[in-house]
Formats: sequence, structure tokens, C-alpha cells
Amino acid sequence: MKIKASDISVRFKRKGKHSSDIKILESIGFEIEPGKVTHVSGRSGSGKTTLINVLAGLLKPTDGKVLYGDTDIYSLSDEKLSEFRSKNIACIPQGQSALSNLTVIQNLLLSQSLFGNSDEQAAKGILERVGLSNFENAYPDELSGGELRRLAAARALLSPGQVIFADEPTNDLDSENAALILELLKGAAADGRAVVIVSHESETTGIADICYKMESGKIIVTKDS
Amino acid sequence: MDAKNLPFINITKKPLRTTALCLISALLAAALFGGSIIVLSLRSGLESLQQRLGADVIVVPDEAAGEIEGILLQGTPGYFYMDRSVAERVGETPGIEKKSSQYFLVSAKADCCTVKVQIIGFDDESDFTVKPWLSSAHKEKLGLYEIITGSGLTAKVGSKINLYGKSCKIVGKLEESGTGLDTAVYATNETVKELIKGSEEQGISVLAKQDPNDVVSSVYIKVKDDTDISDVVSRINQDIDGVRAVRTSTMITGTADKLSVMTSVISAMIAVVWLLAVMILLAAFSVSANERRREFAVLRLIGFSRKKLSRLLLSESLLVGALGGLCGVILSAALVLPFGKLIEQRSGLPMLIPDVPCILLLSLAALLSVLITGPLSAAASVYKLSRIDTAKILREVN
Repeated sequence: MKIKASDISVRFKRKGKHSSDIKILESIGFEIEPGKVTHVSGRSGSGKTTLINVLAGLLKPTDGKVLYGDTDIYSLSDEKLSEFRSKNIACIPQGQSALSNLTVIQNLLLSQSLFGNSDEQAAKGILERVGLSNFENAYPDELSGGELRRLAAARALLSPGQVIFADEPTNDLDSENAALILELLKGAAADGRAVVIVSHESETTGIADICYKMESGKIIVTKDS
Repeated sequence: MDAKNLPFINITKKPLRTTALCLISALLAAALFGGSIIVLSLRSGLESLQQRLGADVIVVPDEAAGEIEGILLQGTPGYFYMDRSVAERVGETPGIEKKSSQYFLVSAKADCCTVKVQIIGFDDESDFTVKPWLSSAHKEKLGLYEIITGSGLTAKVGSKINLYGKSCKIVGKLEESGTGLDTAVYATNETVKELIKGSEEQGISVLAKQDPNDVVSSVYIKVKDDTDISDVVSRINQDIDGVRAVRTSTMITGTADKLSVMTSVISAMIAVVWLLAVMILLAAFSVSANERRREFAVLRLIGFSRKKLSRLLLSESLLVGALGGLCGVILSAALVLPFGKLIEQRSGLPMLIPDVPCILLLSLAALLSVLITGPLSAAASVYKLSRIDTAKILREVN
């Protein structure tokens, strides 16, 4: 499924009566291809995370449309959009995203159980791939930072979503963990999924097929294979 | 893993938070259930007393005027007597339709008797206050050593109890009244005479020596419909020395006033507890909502809609409310129901515990109130959390 963002703008209102709006994204057009790794770089505050939040259906743009095939995701009701996200979009957000009350395996199976049957065997297989099979019944507070990032990656990989958005996936990770995460994302793209990585670290560009750079709310192509 | 189990997992994985919320719900349920049971029991007790007295006027010796209420309401044993001729004079007062006298005898707490009770000798011929309340049929006249007991005595109809060395057969049992009458034993004056003899034989000096044929303790009067009860009371008090006629409704009014005060106090207590519970729950849910912002952002991220998120939070508050409410009702029932007698003694009011269906209904009502209060207090937090800015929270450093 092709993902197309057209004329996306995101503005926030400043506090104060006479203040002007803050422009985060300005008329951005963007396409994501299945089977490719897309990399978006830029300085802190350039709008990278805002862009993938818009693309992932988490932040409604002030203007513009995000189309998944023919579906304009922001025209859907909250219920429908949530279901759409669960079935089509996987995210690896910044920081810790595991639910502390659930074990590692329960964290993986929860999203699956929302709109279908959870496949425990598949979940165990993914845990094996990310090197967490020994932590199946552990709770998130028993895991290290790197293990938690691998858990987030495992959840994204287990998701049926045809697109994976990864926000700073290698941030604060040692080189071994970072390499493993990038390898997994590359593998997902090889399986035909669209992978979008947002990062300010240059090492992640190595696996990208297309590279974009964001500057002052605008986006430019820096590499296209 | 089933998403439907998430509320249960969430509450069991946070035992401290859950226990605190359960305690508040339990307190609320206990106050609602316990308070309602007490108020209802006291009301039923008063209504029962009103019906059971059956008489419009009670006449007792002047010095016993303060004692009769204690005997009737609280079962405080006591004995006082007036000459039977005085009772006859009372009966001659114009406007009286029915009159029946009773003779009070205290059962000593010595080994002579298996139970300590208030023995009341009554006139089977003229009685209109005792036998109408027999729960098991024994409408014939009572024979020697045949007794009728109040519902508070555990001995069954057909069994025998030992009073002053005399074995007395229980031939009838009265319906529960919630008053001191429930622990009384009724016998004919002939049986009472034999019991007095028995006490003498056993050398028990505390028992009155007066013959029931010579003295009576009280006279119950039913006034004719066309006669003003106050006139009869005034006439007896004016014309006959040494006695005090008390209008039963006056006695009931005093009790009703006490009950009204007690009901107000309990209602105020319930209102305060409810208000406190709502405030504490509001604060607790608000704090918890703030602590759980990231958790809810992650749930939104993996596909929870606002509706699903709201349902999750409401389910958690319902589970906690149900658990706490159930504990509160059970605890309250364990405290109030077995100690009804103590409450009756302390409050000085008749108390008739409602029947099982009514208790079940009250417990359901208390549970329902707690179940409504929990989600009601959580509603603001639910609304706030269901509208969290997922993107913004996920960017926050955790």
C-alpha cells in the first residue's frame, strides 16, 4: 500500500492573545514506498517527530491529507482510525513504550487481541529474533534500556501493519543493540513493508533507500536509490 | 492475552493503589448499608412497638412511671406492683372498652433458671395485647406451667425451660417485635404463683412475695372509639391516687423523636462519608490519571480508541468499587446484624432487623451506589485521559 501525504501543515497556537502561530510543518508532500527504508533526518526541533506522528495517524495536521491507498485516514472516526492504525501501522516511539503491568509476551499480544486473535507462537518467534526469548515472562522493569527498545521493535514487527515508523530507534543504545534494531528494520523492508526511520544519527542512513532532510518545517530529498 | 482482561491485570498489578481505592469504596458501602439497616431496623422496631402495645393507655404505679419504657423498649427487667383493687378502680373509668392487667416478675440470674427473663403474668380472659401476636397457633387458654415466649428466646415451641425449679412448657411463641418484649415469658397468674412458690422453696429472696391475685404491675387499656384518650388519662391521674396513666402514643412520640434525631445523625454521617469518598476518589483518580498518561498514550498508539480507553478506566473503577463495596457490605453486616441487640441497648430504641430479602435488597442498593460513585468520580479523569495528546506524551522523556 502506498502512503501519500499531500500539502501537510502543522501549526500550533501560541499562548497569549496576540501571538502568531508556531509553524512546525509547512506544506509538505511526502510518499512512502513499500519495501523501502525511508530515512528522515534533521536537527532537534526541525519537525521530524511531528511528521511521523502525522503520517502514523497520531496527530491531525492543520492542513493537508494523509492517504493510505485511497483512505484519507483523518476523515475516519476515532474508532475507525484506531482500528486502522492497529491493522496497518506499527510504531516504535521514542523512549520506553512497554506497559509496566504486562509481561513481555503480554505486551506483544495485547495489540493483536484488540482486533483479532493473538498468535502466541508468532510472538515467541519474534522474541527469539530480537533476542528476548529468555524474558518472555519478565516485566518491563526487569529489562534494560536496550532490551526495552528491542521489545518495542518486536511489537512493531509482530504487528500486521505494512508500514513501520521508528522514531530515533537507536537513540541511547550501544552499537550492538543499535545494529540489531537496524537489521530488523531492514529485514522488515525486505519483507515488503515500508519502513520510515526518523533520526538525527548518521549511522541509520546506511540502511536507507531514500533519505530526506528536514529544515525549518520543510523537507528535501538528499538520497534516492 | 485478551484485551478484556486488562482492567483486571491493571488493578491486581497495583495492589497498593487498588487497596486504597477499595478501602474508600468499602467505607462508603459500609456506611450506606450499615446506616440504612440501622435506620430501617429502628423504624420497624418503632412501628412494631406501636402495633404490639395494642393499648391506648398503660397504667402503672406512680413510682414506676419511668420504668415501664425501659421494660417495653429495652427489656430492662423490673418489678413494681399496685393493689388489684386499684386496678379495678381504673377499670371503672368511663370510656374504657377493654382492660387487661399484667404482673411483672424478674427471673433471677441464679442457677434456678436456664435463662434470665422478664416473666409476665397475664390475664388470659381479658388479654388483648399478648395472644394476638402469637406466631404459632395456640389460641386455647394457657394451663398451669404452660408459657408463651418472646421471639428472642431460642427455646422452641414444645420444649421446656426451667424457671425457679419448675419445668415450664412453651406452648406458643410471639412474633418478633424488636423490643424488650422479645425476651419476655408470658404465663397465667396461676403459673406465676407457682413460680413464686418455687423461688421461696429455693430460698431466692429477690423475688417479690406479692400474690398475683392481690397485686398487678400494669393495666392495659383500650379506649372506646368515641372517647378522647386524653380525657381517660387525665381522669385516671386525677381520680386515682398512687398510679400514673401514660398514653402509649406519648411514649411512642418520645421514642419517635429519638429515632428522628438518630436517623438525621446517620443520614448526615452517610452524606459526609459519601462526600468524602467522592472527594478522595476524585483526587485519587486524578493523581492516577496523571501518573498513567504515558501508559494511555502507549495504549492509544497500539490501537485503543478513546471509547476503548474510557471503557478500560471505567471497568477498573467498577471492579475496585465492586470489590470494595462487597467487602464493605459484608463487614458492615458482620458488625451491625449480630450486634443489633447492643445497638438497641445503647440507643434505647426498639430495633427490628429487616428480613433476609430486605437485607439483600439493601446490600444491592449499597453496592449499586458504590458502583455508581466510583465511575462517577473517575469520569473527569476518564474524559481527560481519553483526550490525551498521544503524540505529545510519547515525545516526553520517561
